[in-house]
Amino acid sequence: MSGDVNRNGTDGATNGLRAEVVPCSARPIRFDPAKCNGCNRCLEACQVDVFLPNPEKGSPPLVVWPGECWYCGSCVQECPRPGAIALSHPLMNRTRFVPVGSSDSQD
Amino acid sequence: MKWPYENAVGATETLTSDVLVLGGGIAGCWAAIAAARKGASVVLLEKGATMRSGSAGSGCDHWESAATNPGSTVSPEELTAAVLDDQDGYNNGISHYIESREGYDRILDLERFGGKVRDTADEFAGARFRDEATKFLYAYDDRARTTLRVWGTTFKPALYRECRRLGVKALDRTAATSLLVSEAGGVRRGAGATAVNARTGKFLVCRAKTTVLCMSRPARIWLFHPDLVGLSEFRPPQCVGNGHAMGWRAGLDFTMMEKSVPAEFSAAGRSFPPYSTGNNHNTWFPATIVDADGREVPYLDRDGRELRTYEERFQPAPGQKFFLMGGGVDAPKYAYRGPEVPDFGELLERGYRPPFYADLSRLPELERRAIWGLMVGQEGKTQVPVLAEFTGRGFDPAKHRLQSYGSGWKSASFLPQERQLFGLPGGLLHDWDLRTCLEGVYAAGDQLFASNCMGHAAATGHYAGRHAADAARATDLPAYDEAEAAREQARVLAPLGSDGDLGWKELNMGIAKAMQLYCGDRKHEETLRQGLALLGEYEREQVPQLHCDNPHDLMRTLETIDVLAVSQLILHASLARRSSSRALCFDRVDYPEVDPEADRKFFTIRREGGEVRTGALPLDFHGDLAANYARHNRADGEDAR
Repeated sequence: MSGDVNRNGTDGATNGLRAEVVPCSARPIRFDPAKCNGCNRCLEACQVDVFLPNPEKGSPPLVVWPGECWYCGSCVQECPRPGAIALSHPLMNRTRFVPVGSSDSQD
Repeated sequence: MKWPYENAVGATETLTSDVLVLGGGIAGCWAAIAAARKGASVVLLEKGATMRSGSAGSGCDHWESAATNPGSTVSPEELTAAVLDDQDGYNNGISHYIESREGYDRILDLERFGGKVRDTADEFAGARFRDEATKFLYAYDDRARTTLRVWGTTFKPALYRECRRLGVKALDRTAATSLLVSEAGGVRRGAGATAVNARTGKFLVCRAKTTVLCMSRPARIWLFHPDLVGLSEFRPPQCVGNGHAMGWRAGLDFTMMEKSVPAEFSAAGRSFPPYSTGNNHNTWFPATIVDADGREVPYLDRDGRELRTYEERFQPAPGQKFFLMGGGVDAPKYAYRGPEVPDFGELLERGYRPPFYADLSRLPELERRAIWGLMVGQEGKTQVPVLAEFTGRGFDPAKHRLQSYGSGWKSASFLPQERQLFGLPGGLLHDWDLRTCLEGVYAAGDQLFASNCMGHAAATGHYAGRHAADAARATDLPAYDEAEAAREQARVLAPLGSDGDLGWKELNMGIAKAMQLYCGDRKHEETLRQGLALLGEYEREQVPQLHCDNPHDLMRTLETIDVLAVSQLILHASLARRSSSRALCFDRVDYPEVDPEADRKFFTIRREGGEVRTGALPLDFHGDLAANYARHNRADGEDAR
């Protein structure tokens, strides 16, 4: 394998890249700032790339594209600090369960 | 906010390798591993993060069609013949034979790489579904024993480690955008691919002797939700069929692209997330289903005979050698039909009261733990958002029953025009080396026509990787067209510098509505042509208006342009079949005859010089499975192991 980089193009001056948090009706991922140490392992494991690193070192990544979350849980699986990240589906996707032996009978 | 990554927009990097693998899911990782084992230098491009990318990134609970595992009583030939017959021949004989023949070798691979495939901790000692000698756990048909229960959450990290150990250069956050084609001496052959980094915007020219396409099946065609994009489809949101679009643009042959099925999953609205509701299919087979009053629903065999014991749910019917169940099998023919509960509609007519529930409390303890804990837990997207989440909310499978929202494994009713490429969809046509019609370009996994599950991706990935490595050894690095690469760079980066104001989500919504309107459940020549006209207009007038502000949104924008290309491919393929078909779920209102003998063939389609070319192949073009496999592989089987 060989590689070479040829910078022949423009730079940041003409390509001012920027991003803003994209609003979403759901909040798939929530960090506990007391537990998260900002190691960014979740960010590197996310195949959808919904995070951006926090400009403040040691702080939780920013969920910039929450609507793109696939809810796979890889971020939680890779997190070295249990409880630092919580992943949950939007309210409408929470399956109902009832105790065994109960009846749905209204009468 | 300021973009936190390097800005390399405008920079170009050139890489060279023997074998280039596009896509770092299950198929791509194995293709890279197989090629590297043969001594090839390998570059792998993955749009996400190879460690967890792909549909099986976060897990997988079943390994299907492992017909050569020591417990199996079904031969690869028998199993492949069954899956072909079940689809009236509209299935991939070559790839499913490879899956049946070599899937078990890949299971053993995984174990060597550090993945978990046996009950080594003896959590299920003494269970009906466990082989005590090998400690393999089996699913579905207890006599056939072709499907294993596995600890799939361990798989992708293990494969990624092995890729790195073998020196595979895996480039994450790198989205392939086009195939490079060399035309030296009048012979067209693959020369690698171009790509763009989804964090920095850097453009890559990846030259290679041979290329293996291992990207996803198409998605976001009929189903798209601009708010909950990631829940629009069953598979990850970035898996939209980039490889199909690249192949279409490069003139590769496809087949079965007219096939789509009524939508089954879209947790952005109608359905629940897969495996998260009470049901009795797949991950949940064969959970006990009860009605609102706790009255148990009977399991029936294919002749309607009520099964008396739990164990009978794993047995073929009298006179049946084995039954088919799992990912690619939705409603099997009588010959292969396994135990099943009646449809909920029928149950209501028989006096059962809604809603229905899965009640695992009635199962033997090891069976309950196998479903809730092993299967729900190891299957993709279940360990965190289902098992951990529901447990946190207080769900205990021994004490609670979980609601069902539809029969089978469906949890919703969709509109008829809402469709999906699911259950053996169309894809690239290939030969017995898994080579496409373009010299030097191979394909595996969901890139192939009539693909389905993890075992298929693993087996075909390895197979394509080793054949690509063999071919690379016999060839020089092809030249590529630098002007073509420069044009591609301009195309790829255009939305970052464009003056337009169209966002990718608006375009994706436009495509999805067009496909629902013009290529829904009931298709007609006139509407299909109207759909093509509208999408052509989008391509000419809207695509140049696309605009985005960073490489991440550029990746989504490029995906949407590929969704547009694949939608056009589907419309063309739908025009090419002038009859209806049961197995292809294809209803032409203007040609209502179902599966006329003259059309019982694979229609092939490709783009050549701006024109669409169609052809046909017999359904049995794969020929004699065992003989052709022998002709294309080493007699001692060493390559496969």
